Amino acid sequence: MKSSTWIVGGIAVFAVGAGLLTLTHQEPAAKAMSEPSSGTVCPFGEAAQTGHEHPHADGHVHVEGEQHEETYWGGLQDVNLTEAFTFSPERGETALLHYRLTEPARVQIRVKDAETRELFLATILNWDLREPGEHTEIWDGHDYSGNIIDMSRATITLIARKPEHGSELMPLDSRSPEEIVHSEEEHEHGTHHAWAEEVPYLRILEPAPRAESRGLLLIRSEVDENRRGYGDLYGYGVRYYVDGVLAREEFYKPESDGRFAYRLDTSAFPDGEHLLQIGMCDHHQHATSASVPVVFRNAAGNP
Amino acid sequence: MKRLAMVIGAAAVLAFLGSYHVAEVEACCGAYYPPTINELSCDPDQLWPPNHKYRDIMVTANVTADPRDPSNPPVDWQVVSVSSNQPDNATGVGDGNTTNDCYVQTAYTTDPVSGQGFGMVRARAERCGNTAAQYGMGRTYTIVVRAWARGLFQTLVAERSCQVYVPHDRGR
Repeated sequence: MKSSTWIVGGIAVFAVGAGLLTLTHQEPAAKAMSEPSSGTVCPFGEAAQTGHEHPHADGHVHVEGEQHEETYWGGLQDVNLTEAFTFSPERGETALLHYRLTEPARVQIRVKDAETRELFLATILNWDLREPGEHTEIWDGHDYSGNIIDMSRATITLIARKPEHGSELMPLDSRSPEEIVHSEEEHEHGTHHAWAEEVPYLRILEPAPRAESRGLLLIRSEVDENRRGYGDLYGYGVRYYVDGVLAREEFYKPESDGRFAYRLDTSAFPDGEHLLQIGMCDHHQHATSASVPVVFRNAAGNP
Repeated sequence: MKRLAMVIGAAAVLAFLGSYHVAEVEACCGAYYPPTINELSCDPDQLWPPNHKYRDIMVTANVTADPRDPSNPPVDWQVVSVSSNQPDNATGVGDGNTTNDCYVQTAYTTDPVSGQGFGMVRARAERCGNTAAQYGMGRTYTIVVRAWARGLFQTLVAERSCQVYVPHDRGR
């Protein structure tokens, strides 16, 4: 009798533990993340599978003429970022980016290269808290290194999120951009807090702006020691671009201490002025970049 | 026997704790990443001759949810603006005497046959013929497309542009 009591007790503890866990456990695994859920309460995931439903401005999801009661968050209204594509930063102009919030929100605005995956060029707003009302953000059109961004090949993104979800965990999976920072070391993917997201600062030590070079060009860069992201844990992924074309990608282990070096063969590119960009991210999507204009002179007769 | 039952009960709890994941809960609300605007195209991307007539420009885009988004949220897009880098009715030659040189005719619609979504913009095939620095390269119309995805607690927007040129002359 006593034995059966213990067994029943064990089952009860098991059930209670499972119930508590359902409420508190927050460690989604990469495997589960790569398999979109089915049968959840979210109407949007299901809508995506059918391809027929779209959320509309009235806050409802329409399904073949019917109106369902499921709603999305409609706190962001009247977005207008178009000036980012039409102003002239070379003339000293600034772009005014407008949006309206009907309730408080955390807002992130970033600029990334549209042609190259995960090359972030500028962070205009990094999850700053904004109150309800009209908002205008001012942007000077420059990238992290102070060079003017070619907006004809850029995408600007704005995310507004309810502030009470500031502690929501951001799901990660095994794809971009973490793929470039995978080492042979196995470790489990999971989540990280979105608000722990600080933009790392990467500086190019070599070459100097507009330095002329031929043959192999030594490129050295380093992450600011006070704004490192999570690279100390799992290392960094670093990509080198010339005029937006990926030239090289490398993985650096944590022992790199955030210092990167690569010799670029400049003879593979036409002579003249180019923009060298270095994109960097850590395993938890703290992404940044740095850029420097360079001049290649490889043709015979060039001094 | 008592100890055995305790061990079994504790082991069962620990095994459950170790294996349980709630990724489905995290994934339910969708739209963690802004939508991706791929292959944005303005057709035609050059207007010639500069005869001051309106031309229809078809805007197409392949807009997808970010592949990392676990719930693959639906995304919408539309053309939101078109603008010119030259004044509507600039002083000088070649620009004509017209206004309202460009406008969005249709922000978004779908082809009833193919089902493909597209937008339509109308723009005049004209440019200022001045050779001053600000006009010398001809006119550029910038068309901006906006895509968005929505979740239960956030909204995500992405904007990207394509350009349509009216060359200063056939040489450029």
